[in-house]
Amino acid sequence: MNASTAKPTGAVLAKLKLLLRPHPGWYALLAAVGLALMGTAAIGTVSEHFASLQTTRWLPLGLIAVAITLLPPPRLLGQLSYVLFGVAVALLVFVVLPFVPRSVVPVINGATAWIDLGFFNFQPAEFAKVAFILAVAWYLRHRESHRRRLGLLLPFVLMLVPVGLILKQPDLGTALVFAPALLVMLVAAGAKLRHLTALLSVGVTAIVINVVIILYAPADMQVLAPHQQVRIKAMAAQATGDTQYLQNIGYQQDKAMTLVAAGGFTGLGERSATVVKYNKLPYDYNDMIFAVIVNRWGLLGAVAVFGLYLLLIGSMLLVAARSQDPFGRLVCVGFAGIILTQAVINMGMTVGLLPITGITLPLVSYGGSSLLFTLVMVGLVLNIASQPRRPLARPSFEFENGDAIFQ
Amino acid sequence: MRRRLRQMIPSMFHRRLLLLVLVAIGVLGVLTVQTARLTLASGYDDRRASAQDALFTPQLVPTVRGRIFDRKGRILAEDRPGTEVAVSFEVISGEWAYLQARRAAYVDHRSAWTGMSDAARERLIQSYQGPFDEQVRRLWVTLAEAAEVSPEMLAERRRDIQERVAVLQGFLWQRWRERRSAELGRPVSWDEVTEPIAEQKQAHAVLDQIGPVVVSRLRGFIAEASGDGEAAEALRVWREVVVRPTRQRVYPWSETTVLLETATLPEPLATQFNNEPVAVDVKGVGVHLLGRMRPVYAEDAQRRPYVKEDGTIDLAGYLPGDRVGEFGLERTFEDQLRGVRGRIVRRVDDASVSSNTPTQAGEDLHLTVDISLQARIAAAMSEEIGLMESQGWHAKPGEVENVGERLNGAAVVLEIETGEVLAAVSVPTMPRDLLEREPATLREDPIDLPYLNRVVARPYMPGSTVKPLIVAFAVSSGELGPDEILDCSRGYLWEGSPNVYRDWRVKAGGAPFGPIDAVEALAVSSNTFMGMLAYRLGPERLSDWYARVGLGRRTGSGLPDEISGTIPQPPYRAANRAAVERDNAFIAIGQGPIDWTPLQAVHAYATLARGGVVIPPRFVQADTLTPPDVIERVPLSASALDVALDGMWSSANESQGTTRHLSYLGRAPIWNAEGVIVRAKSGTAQATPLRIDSDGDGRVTRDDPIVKRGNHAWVVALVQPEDSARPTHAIAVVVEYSGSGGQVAGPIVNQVVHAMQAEGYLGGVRGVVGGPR
Repeated sequence: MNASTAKPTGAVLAKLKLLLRPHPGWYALLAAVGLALMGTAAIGTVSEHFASLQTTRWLPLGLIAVAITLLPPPRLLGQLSYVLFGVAVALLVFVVLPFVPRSVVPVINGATAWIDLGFFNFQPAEFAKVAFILAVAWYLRHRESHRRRLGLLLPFVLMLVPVGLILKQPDLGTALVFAPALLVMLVAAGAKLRHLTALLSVGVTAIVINVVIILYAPADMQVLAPHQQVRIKAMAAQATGDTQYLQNIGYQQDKAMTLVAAGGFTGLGERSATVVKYNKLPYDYNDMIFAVIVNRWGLLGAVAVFGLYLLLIGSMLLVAARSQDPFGRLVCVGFAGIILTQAVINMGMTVGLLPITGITLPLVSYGGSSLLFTLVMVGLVLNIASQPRRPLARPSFEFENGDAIFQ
Repeated sequence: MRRRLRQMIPSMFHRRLLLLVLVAIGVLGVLTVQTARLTLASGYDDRRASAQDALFTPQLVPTVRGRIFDRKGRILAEDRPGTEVAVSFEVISGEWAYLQARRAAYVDHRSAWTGMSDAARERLIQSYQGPFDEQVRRLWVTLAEAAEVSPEMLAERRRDIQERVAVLQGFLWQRWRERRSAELGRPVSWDEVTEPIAEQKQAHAVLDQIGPVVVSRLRGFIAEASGDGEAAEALRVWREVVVRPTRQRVYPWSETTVLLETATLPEPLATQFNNEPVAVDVKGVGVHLLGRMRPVYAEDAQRRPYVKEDGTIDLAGYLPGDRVGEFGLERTFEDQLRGVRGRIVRRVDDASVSSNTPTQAGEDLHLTVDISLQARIAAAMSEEIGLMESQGWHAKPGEVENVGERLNGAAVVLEIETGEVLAAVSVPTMPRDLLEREPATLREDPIDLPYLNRVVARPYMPGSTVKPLIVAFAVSSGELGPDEILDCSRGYLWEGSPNVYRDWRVKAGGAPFGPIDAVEALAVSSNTFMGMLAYRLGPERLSDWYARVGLGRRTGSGLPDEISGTIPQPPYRAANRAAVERDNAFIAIGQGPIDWTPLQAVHAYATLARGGVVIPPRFVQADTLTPPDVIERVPLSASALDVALDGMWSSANESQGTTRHLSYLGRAPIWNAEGVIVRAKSGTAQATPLRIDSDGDGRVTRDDPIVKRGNHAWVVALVQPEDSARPTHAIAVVVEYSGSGGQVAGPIVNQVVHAMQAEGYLGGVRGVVGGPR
C-alpha cells in the first residue's frame, strides 16, 4: 500500500524535479509574463474592463495552458502533429464554409475567423499556427531533402493550405506570419542559404511588384483586394505628406504614430489614459496596444518591450541550442520565429514602417486565442527545455560542404 | 572569418541560431530607431501637438446674419430666432420602422438568421414591423397636435423633404460620377458612387417656429425615450427627434398687398376695373434683388474652408449645415452679411475653458431700394392689371397676334442726384414659396427665364431710346449747332435706297418730316436726322461716346448677375469704310450690334441729366457720403443737355411727340400724373424672334419653332416735380416681344410715376400702402 502510493508520488516528484530544474526556458516564461503584465497595464490605461478580463480570465487560463503543455512528452506531440495539423485545417475550412450558421461562426470585423464557444470566441488560425510549426518540425526533423531546391518547395506548398484558408476569412495579418516562421525553421534546419535567399528575393520582388501595381497601375490590373490596396496607398500617401487618407483608411496608423510620438522619452504616465482616449485610437486595447505602451512609458517602454521580446526569443533559441532532439529544436525555433514575426509586423505598423493589418502583439494585446496559444508555445518550449539531456544523442542538422559563413 | 566562426561554434545548427539571433536584433534595432525618431526627433513635434490638441474640444457658437433694410429702414431680410423640430431622414422616409423591425427580428432569431431565405426573413421582419409603424404614426400625430398643424400638412412636408433629397441625390451622384471619372480617367459605374448622401443621414426640420410650451412637451417625450425599459422602448422613435434652436432667414416684404388706383390706367384697362381701386397681391417683391439662402456646397467650402490649408481655423469658413446667399445681394454681400461664428474651447478632462472667441454678428445692409415703391411697381406690372399682357392697341391694328399673352420685362427707377436705385422690378417675378419649393420650375423655364433679373442681366437693343444721347453727343462735339436745321425732306438717308433707312412716317405712308432741328427730330423720332449725325460723328467717336455714358461695361451696381452689354468697336468690317459708316448709322438709332440693360439705360440718361457727371448706380447705400476721389465727367455741353431735354419734353408733351399718345379707339395721353414734368423717349427695337431648342440637340436652329416674336418696347424717362429745376429721377421700362415702345412701355412708366407719387416722391404725398405679410 505504502509502496504503491509512494512509487507514483516518487515518480511525480522526480518528474517535477526534472521539470523545475534550472534551464533557459524559465527566462522565456519570465519574459512572457513580463510582456503580459506590461500588456495588462497598458490595456488598463484604455479599458479597466478589458484589463480585468485579461488578468482574471485569459492570463490564468493561459498559465493553466502552460502547465498542461508541460506534461506530454515531445515525442508524443510530434507523432500527433500531423493529426493536429489536419484538425487545424479542418477548423479553418469550417469557418469559411458558406452555410455555417452565423451563430457559430459570427462575422466579426468583416471576417469569419472565430468559432463562438459560448464563453469564448475561439480563433482556429491561432491554433493552426501551433499545429503548423509542430507538423513542419516533425516533417523536417530527420530530413535532408530541404537542402535541394524541390525538397525545399514542398514545405512551402504545405504552408499554402492554412495560409490560403486564412486569407479566405479574410485575415491577411495572421496569414502573413506563416511564411517567415517557415523560413526561420528552414534556416535552422540547415537549408542552403542561397536557396532561401533566392526564395526570399522572389517574395520581396512579388511584394515590390504588388506595391508598384497598387501605386501606379490602372484599376483593372490590380491583384490585391481594394481594401488592401488602399492601405498601401494610404501608407505611401502618409510617407509623402499627402493627407488625403487621414480621415479614413490612414486614420488608424496616423493616430497610432501620433500617440507614439507624443510619448516622448519617458512617456506621459498617468496622463496617457486621457490622451489616448480623446485621440480616439481604434483597437487601442488589442492591435494598437504598442502605441498605448509608448504613449504611456515612452521610448523607455518601447525599449523594454523590445528587450523582453529579445529575451523571449533569445531564450527560446537557447533552449533549441541546448536540446538534442531535432523535433524539439525546430519547434523552439519555429515558435520563436512566429512570435517575433508577429510582434515585428504589429509594432512595425504602429510606428509607420508597415501597412496596417489586423494582427495582435503577442502576449501584450488583449485577446483570448492569441494570448492562449502564444502561452501554449511558451509552455511547449518549457517542456522541451525540461527534457533530460541524452549524452549519446545523434547530432542533427549538421551538414558539410558549406557555402557560406553560417553553413 | 569563416574558419574562426567554425572553430568557435563547431555546430552548424548553432551557427544558424546565431544568424537568427542577429537578424532578430537587427529587426528590433530598426524598430528601435524608428520609435526613437518618432518619440524624440523634432520633426514629429506637430504630432505631439496634435495628440495634445485632441484634449480640447471646440464648441461653435452660431452667429447672426446681418439684416437687410430698405432706404426707409424697413426690414427686408433678417434671421429670426426660433425653435424647430427635426426628424431623422430614416423616419421621414419610412425606412426606420423596417430597420428597427429587422434589428428586433435578428436579435430574437440570431441563430436561424443565416439559414433563412430572403423571403422568409422579410416575412419575419414584417411580423415585427407593426409596433414600429405604429410608433411612427403616433409620432406624426403627436407632432401635428402639439404644433397645431394638420396631419396632411405634416405629410406634405415629409414628401417635400423626400423629394428634395431625392433630387439632390440624383444631382450629387451624377456629379460624383463625373468627378470620379475625371479623376480616374475612365468611365465610372453608378455602383462606385451611389453612397448615401449627407442629407440621408441627417435630421430634417419638419416643424419650425414652435412655441416654448410645445418645446418643453416634445423635450419630455425625447427624455423619456432616452431611458431604459419598456416605456422607453415604446417611444423609441423619439430618439430620432431633435428640438433645436434655429435662425430662419425671413423676408417680410416678399409678399404684400397693394391698393392700386386704376383710373390712371389706359382707358380699356381702367374700364375693366370701373375706375375703382383694386387690391393687388404681389408675390416675389424684390426677390431678384435680395436673393435667397441655400445650403452650403462644396464650392463654398473650397472658397472659404473652415479649416484652412495650413491647418488653422477660419471661423467664418463654411461648414456643412451653413446657409449661403444664393443670388442677388445676399450673394454679393455674403462675406459682410455672414458674420463670424464664435468658438469656445474646453479641455475634455476638467471642462476648463481654454479659449473663447466671441461671435461677431454679420453686418447690416442698407439698400437704396424703397421696397414699398418696388411693390407698387410690381403690382402695376402684375398679371391682374393687364399692362404686362399683350393688348390689341400695343401696335398698329392687326399687327398684334398674341393678344392676352403675358409679357416679360423690367422697370427701374434711379435717383439722378445720387445714382441710387429706388426700384428695380423684373417680370416675371419669383414668388418665394415657389422658389423654395420648386426652384427647378423657375430655373429651367427656357422661354420666360423667370430666374433672370432683367434689370441687369439681359441685354436689349435700345432702339430709338438712344436718340437723345446721340443729339447730346453731336452738339457736345460741335458737329451740330443747338438750333441747326437738317433737311429730312427726303424721308430716307441714302439716296437710291428709299426702303432701307427711312423715317417711320414715310414708312407708314405719310409725309417726310422736312427741315427740322434736333428738338423736333427727337419729338418725332427721326431716323434720317440721327443717320446724318452718325456720319458727322463717325464710328470711332460715336463708340467712344457710348462707352463714356456707360455702355459696354458693368455699372458696378453690385448685383452678381449684372452683365456688360455690348457696344460696337469700329471698324466693324475691315477695309470697307463705307460699310462701316453705314453700320454706324444704324448704331446711332439703337439698332445693330449694340445692346444695353435697363439699368444701363437709366444710368446713361442720369449721366446726361447731370450734365455729364458720372455716378455709378447702386443698390446699397454708401456708408459715408464722401464723394469718390475722382468724379468721372463726360464732356457734355450745357446746350447739348438743353437740346436733349427739350427734345424729350417735346416727345412726351407736344402733339407731334411719339411718346405722348396712346392710340386705341381714339388718342389718349400717356401721362396723367399731376404736378410732374415728364421728359421721355420711346424706342421700338427690332428683336430677333425667340426660338428654343425643341429637339434637344443643344443648338437653336431655324428648324426650332419661334416661341416669341415682336419688338422690344422701350420708354426711358426723366421726371421731376413741377417745382424742381432739373429732372430728379430716371425711369426705364422695357417690355419684351411686345409692340410699339410708347404704346406698351409708356403706360407702365406712367404707373411708375403714380407709384412714386404715392410713395412721396415727385411731390406726391405718401398714402396708404401695404405692409409686410
